[in-house]
Amino acid sequence: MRFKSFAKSILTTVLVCAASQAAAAFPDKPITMYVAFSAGGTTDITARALAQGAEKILGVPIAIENKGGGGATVANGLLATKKPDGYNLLATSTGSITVRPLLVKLAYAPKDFRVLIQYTSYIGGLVVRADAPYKNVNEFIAYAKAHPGMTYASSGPHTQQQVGVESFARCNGLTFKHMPTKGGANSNTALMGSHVDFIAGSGSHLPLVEQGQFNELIIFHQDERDPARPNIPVMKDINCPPTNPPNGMIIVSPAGLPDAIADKLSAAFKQVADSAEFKALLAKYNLPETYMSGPEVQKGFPAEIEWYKKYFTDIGMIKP
Amino acid sequence: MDLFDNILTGLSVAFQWHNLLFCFVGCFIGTLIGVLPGLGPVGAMSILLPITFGISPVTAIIMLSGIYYGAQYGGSTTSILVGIPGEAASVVTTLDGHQMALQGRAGPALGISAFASFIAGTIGVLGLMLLAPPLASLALRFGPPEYFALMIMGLIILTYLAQKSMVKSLMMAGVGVLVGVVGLDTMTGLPRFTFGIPDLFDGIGIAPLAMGLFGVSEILLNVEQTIKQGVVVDRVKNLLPNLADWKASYKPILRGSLSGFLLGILPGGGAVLASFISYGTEKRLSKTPERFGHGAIEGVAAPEAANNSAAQAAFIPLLTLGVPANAVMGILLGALMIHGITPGPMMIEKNPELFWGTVTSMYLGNIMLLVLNLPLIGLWVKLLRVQYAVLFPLILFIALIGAYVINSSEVDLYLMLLFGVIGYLMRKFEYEPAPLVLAFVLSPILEDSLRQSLIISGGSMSIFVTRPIAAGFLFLAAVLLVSAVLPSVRQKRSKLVAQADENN
Amino acid sequence: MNAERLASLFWFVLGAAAVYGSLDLGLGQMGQPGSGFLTFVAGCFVALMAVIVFVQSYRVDAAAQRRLSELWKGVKWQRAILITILIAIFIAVFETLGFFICSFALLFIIMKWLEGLDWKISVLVPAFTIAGTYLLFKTVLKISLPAGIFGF
Repeated sequence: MRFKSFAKSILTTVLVCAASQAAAAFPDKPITMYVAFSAGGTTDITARALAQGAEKILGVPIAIENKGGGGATVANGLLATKKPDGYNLLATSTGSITVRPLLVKLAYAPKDFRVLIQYTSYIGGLVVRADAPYKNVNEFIAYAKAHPGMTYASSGPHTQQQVGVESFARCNGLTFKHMPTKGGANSNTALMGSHVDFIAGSGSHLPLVEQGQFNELIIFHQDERDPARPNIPVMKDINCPPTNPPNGMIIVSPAGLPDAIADKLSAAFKQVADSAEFKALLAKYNLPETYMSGPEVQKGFPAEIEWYKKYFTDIGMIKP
Repeated sequence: MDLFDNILTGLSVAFQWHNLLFCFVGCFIGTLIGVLPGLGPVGAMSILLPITFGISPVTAIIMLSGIYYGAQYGGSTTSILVGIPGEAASVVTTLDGHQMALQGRAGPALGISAFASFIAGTIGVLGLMLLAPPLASLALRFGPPEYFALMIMGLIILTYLAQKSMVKSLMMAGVGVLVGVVGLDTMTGLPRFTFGIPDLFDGIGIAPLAMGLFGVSEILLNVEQTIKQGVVVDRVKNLLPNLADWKASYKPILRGSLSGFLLGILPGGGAVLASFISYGTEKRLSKTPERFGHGAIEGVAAPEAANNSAAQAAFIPLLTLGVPANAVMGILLGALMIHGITPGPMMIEKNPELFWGTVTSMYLGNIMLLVLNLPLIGLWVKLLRVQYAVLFPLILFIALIGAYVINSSEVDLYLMLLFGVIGYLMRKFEYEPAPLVLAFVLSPILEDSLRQSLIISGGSMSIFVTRPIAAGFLFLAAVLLVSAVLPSVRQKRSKLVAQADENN
Repeated sequence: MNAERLASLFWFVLGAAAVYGSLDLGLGQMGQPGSGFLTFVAGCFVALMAVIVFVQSYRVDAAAQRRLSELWKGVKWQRAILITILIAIFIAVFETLGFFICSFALLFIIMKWLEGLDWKISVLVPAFTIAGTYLLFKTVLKISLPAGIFGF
């Protein structure tokens, strides 16, 4: 009896020491941060900035690897298989983790992840070429009614922006053909080459709008017009119900990450997110400063899931 | 005049001492990484990225670019010396390059490889300077149907790599496509053919596959031999290509540079496609195609030129459109963003010193790499003189470590061993590994472009013939296929006719 | 057993397995190709090619007529198997025993036992190579190699 409890306490001490050693020693080699969308898109650009800032704080390189595909489900599925040792992180969207399982079968579940930080939220809109025959959303709707089956590219099936476009389509009685790509940059290229008629813009289209190559016809995921671009309508301006609310851009690690390491990482990322340079980058892409701590994000998951369940049932994407 | 000014601007940037220094450092590290099979420039660039923080964006880009094309140079070295492709773009170089090494002509092979890369790099830089914007808009016209047609044409050209049976080559290409599918489906996110092994979710790595099929299998085949011939190495004066070599190679180099440059522009297309399309082209154009696969120097010169000029061309989508053409360009994109520069159509105008500085520095990098690599040839050739019994365990060791460090994964090592055994068996039964590996590389692009095309067209296959560029490639593919099959059909016919004559 | 026919049989089975797996994954429709679409086509293609090779094996020339045993005639295939086993063991214990022990063991065993080289070479060459590789990865490339349970 005595020996057993003695052995147990020794074991526990050793393990705790080892764990805290590990935490104290963390990080001692390069960290890999996967990005759930292709290079050049909003998620990628912001994640790289975050990584670059965090590198200086943590003292080790953070290598970015893009794993776009499936609307972030490929990267999510991949990260769920990695060890929760703090050396494997992922920049992804809250929606792909919480909401997507409502719609499709996936290789992962929300419980497979631990959220470290939410540093901004996604925006979206319907973006066309500047030289298209339709110059505003009403002309577009008329054109689409006359030409059913227009094609559009998005960053993946059931991503926030793609759902936005589908809501738009439902409200106006339109049918579109959806071509998934691996990220905003690929969608932009497809539109630049006129291989699709429009795209579900996810933020990286903004520089191209500014340079006059693209035109954003309507902004989704917001109830009020963007004060910086007051002439672009939102859903209520065309008598449509609001689209889905924005998902957060988050950094996650596989579930089971020790608290000490999670805290270290979260603190580093928060420091970067608070910095002036990072905020300037967000401003450049019209991204909101919607910081939330990891635990806060995860606490909000059930509510988000409930909301989307009702939303999808209402718009007919899932059967009740 | 504008162009001249730009070049001057570029030179003034490139020749600043710190840019020269970092260019050299980049080239050196790149060569090192290229020589080590397995670890590619992507991993190294990511890890070395922090070094670039304290320095200006131009210098950072120069160093990272140096690593990138330094790795191209280095990758060819292992392909030629030990028959293990350093990376996917060097697979084709192993076909004739390694044969040349076994025939004691490693020096000329390495030499022509370095020179071809240099010449192609020069042509590439010129192309970049003169043609970047118009080519960029050409690249934009490549949508999913065009990519699909290009991939099909590429797969057909793979059969030109065949030394023996074309049917077997085509079959290996098919198997390569299947192996490439293993992993998570990029459209649904669900696992395919992963047999419940999570490490396979990311697919099978090109490095364990190529190193196993080429390197480990060759080692297994060699240890079986009762007497392993030492490689016959000639005297010093045969370290460089001779006049005959140059006569044979100069046209392949030019053609390879051209095709490499054009293909390198396409995002996702790149060096691999360029390397074997140029090889296939040379074999097709040659008056003595049977030499290919047995040490034909054109079979080294053309792919080396192609993959190097493709490496230069891959900068175009990034620098002009802000779209990275491959993973390496993605890192460069990140580096640019970090330094506050948004690549895109406006970048050249807003940051001329960056664009032109990088372009001229690339050229300097090419010169530096030539200077770095030529003297090393003597060293490499000496290495080959070492007894095989000592050499092969070391090669095996380097391969194992190289494959391991990519992902710190045991699974990669097991895969390499598995493919080593498969490659060993394949070679016994006369099936060639090269088409498999190359089709494997093309498989993801093939699939994505096929599915995207069918979505755009609403299920109709006619999209591939109604769009001119796509139709053009498919037509070319058909022509190539027919012209590859025709000679053997004719041969059979004439054989039958001869037999019939005999019997009469 | 004819070598060509055996091999083509293997590839045929592989192609058929791919086709079978694809049906599971779902072929989708033409306008929305599913997960299994390409693998179905590729699998059929491989199987078809295998059939052609099988038929071709009935030709009269020497290459087609090779028997299985000929492929391994006059070669010391046991050595190939040994090397394979050694590599497999190396991989299995690599992370447990660590970089240094495993690498040295592998190289030493191959050089001394398999190839019969003398002691000096079998010890010194691996030692230098391993040391050099370690330095290269640790300092220049900043990549760490497994330390194993002994801590090095």
